[in-house]
Amino acid sequence: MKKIVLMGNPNVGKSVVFSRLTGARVISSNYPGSTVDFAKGRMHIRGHEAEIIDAPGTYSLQASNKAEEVAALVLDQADLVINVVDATNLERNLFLTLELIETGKPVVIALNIWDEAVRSGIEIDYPALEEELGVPVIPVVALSGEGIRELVNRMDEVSSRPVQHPVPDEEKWIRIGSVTKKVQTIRHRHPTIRDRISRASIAPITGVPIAIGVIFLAFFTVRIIGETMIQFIFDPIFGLYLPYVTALGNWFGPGILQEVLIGRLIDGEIDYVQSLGILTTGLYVPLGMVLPYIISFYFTLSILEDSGYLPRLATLADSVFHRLGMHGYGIVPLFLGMGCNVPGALATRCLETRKQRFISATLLAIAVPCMAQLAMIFGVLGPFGLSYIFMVIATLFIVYIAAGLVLARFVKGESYEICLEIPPYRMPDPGIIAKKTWMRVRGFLGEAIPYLFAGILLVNILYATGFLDWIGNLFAPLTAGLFGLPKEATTALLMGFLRKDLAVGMLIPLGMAPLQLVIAVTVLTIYFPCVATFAVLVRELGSIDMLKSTALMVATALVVGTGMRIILLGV
Amino acid sequence: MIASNPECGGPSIRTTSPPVNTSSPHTSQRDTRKTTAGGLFVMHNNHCAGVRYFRARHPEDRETADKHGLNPFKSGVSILYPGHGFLGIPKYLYPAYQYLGKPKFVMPMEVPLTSLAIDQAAIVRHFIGGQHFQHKLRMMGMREGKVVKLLASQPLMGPIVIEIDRRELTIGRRMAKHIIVETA
Repeated sequence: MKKIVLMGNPNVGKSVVFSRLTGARVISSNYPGSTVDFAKGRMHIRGHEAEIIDAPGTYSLQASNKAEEVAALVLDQADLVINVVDATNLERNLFLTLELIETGKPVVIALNIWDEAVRSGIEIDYPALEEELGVPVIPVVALSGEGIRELVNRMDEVSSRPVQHPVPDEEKWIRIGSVTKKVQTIRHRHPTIRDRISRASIAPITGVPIAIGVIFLAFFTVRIIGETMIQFIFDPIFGLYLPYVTALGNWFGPGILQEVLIGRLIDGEIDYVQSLGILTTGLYVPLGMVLPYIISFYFTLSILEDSGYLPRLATLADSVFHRLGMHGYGIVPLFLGMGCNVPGALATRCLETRKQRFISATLLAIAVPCMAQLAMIFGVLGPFGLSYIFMVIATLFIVYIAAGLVLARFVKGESYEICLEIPPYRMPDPGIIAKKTWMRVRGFLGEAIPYLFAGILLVNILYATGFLDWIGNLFAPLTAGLFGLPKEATTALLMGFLRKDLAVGMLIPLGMAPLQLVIAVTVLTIYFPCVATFAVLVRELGSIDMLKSTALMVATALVVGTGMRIILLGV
Repeated sequence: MIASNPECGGPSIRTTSPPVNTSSPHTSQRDTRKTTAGGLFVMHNNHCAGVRYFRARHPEDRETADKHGLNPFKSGVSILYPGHGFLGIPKYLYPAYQYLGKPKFVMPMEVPLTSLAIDQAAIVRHFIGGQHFQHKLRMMGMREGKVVKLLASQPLMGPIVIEIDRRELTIGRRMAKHIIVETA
């Protein structure tokens, strides 16, 4: 099968072209580095099936980070390369184009963002460009689909060419200068309102208040949408579901089936949070408590991503992040990790050095709760007052900063400075926002529900066999002695390896005081990531670095848990 | 690279910049031009990039320049005061300052990118750093001959934001210090 690889600079719309060609849904955003791994899809060209590979963005074939290494590897497999070029920045994009042509592989150029180039006064004589480069050049607007058909039609025109002797970079730039001078005309334009907003959001005097406002507004939106959905959609649905599941429990009667599917009855009734049955807690926790916040978080995140605000936030945060051993771009894994730690861990690829990736991934695993866990923390501690939630968040924030400062000091290796292109502000497309939110929510449902079912099943089995009592006694000196928690909390802490949201829910029946709950959820966040994040981190960091990272997590949990016990509960 | 500079009195002037992409529409013209403020400075193609010889930290270069009669009070050279209010001296006093006597040193016309004032434009001249550093910058669109404008400078030694080819670029401060630009 013919393999077609999409290559191009970061943030030129490769993933959108990929979606147009294959119909497959991939997440694209308005910031460089939103694709860190390759995606595959299929399409038919004149009756023949072809495989399309969406490679991460790269400025040249000389890779400078892990995502660019992936792009260079993917290129080796290509039978045909679609070079996606940003028409608003032709000159810079042509360097990769010349490198691709040098490889001898058949190349077609998709001159994307054509509409924006025209609007901003950039005229490109694309037939002349085609003549200069000797490869087909097709203007496209991937977002609307304009030009995609012609791109597909002209893929047959190209054929392999002999591998060219690579010319030095300086000669390439001279040629690029010559080509752009011939084919491109740039008209003067006055600054627009969009330019003024962009300036205001990167200048420190105005940018910092804007950033605080945006973050506050984002979390306020998440909370309001989440609570509204729970109140008006999910709680009524689960209210309607309750009689049916109660009748089912009565029909089963006392026994193992009722224990596993319905769970324990609390005061003779089903309690969706505490019963721990597959059909009760197993459905209510992911759907009734977590899903509304997941939907609202990803909706808000998608707007932030597509508007182009995240790179500006990275610029403003760079001074802080640089002291933590990363650079401002470290805020992207942090933001994505607040939805789910897995994409957050993958996003660390955009950081250039091993040291930066190690610190970013370790801090993510230690101090960044995913939205599912955060929703449960709100659910568990919310009834006692917002001050308890604030204690957890503030502790995790301090841990993030303190651990970052320590790691920046002691982890060996280089920590490069930020060098980031800031994309123009764009109005988020409602259809794309809805699509991205749905894709991420679907990913959450596909991952959360099986793990929750497995976790609940495991808890019931271990409970029935007496293993939980045994393990509780084994770790009692740690949980009771160091953290001031009941020994039964050990089970919840261990279950956190499977699903953190379930583990937080398991703390409720233990009847702990609010301050004990604060300690328990904080330690639960810090001590170890969930199994899905762990698997990704092993792949990203390697087993040795992951071992070091794990040791740091456990050590931090012990120190923070003990410290909180002394401060909050007294010695 | 050593190049002779006939217009500046003939001293050999070292030019370290790689060839400039003169054919780009974004690239400034590098033809002969003269400043009007002092009426003395001459730049011809790339040769007079060597005016930074007058920097105080290169006394040997300064001696060479003096030897060849290249000083601020002879035709061919001017004092260039980059930015606004160098050493707090108001701009309108610059001409008077020139005639008070031979200046202690002549401000270099080539300065690090970090020395620009907000909204000040300059031309990228060369980079001080290894191949990887230079390659990375060029890939991001930062190349010799390009006009850059400083848009913002973050506090606490944070990065700077520049505009280049209608694009905004965030660059770490240490990196920016290694990008030498020519103020105009």
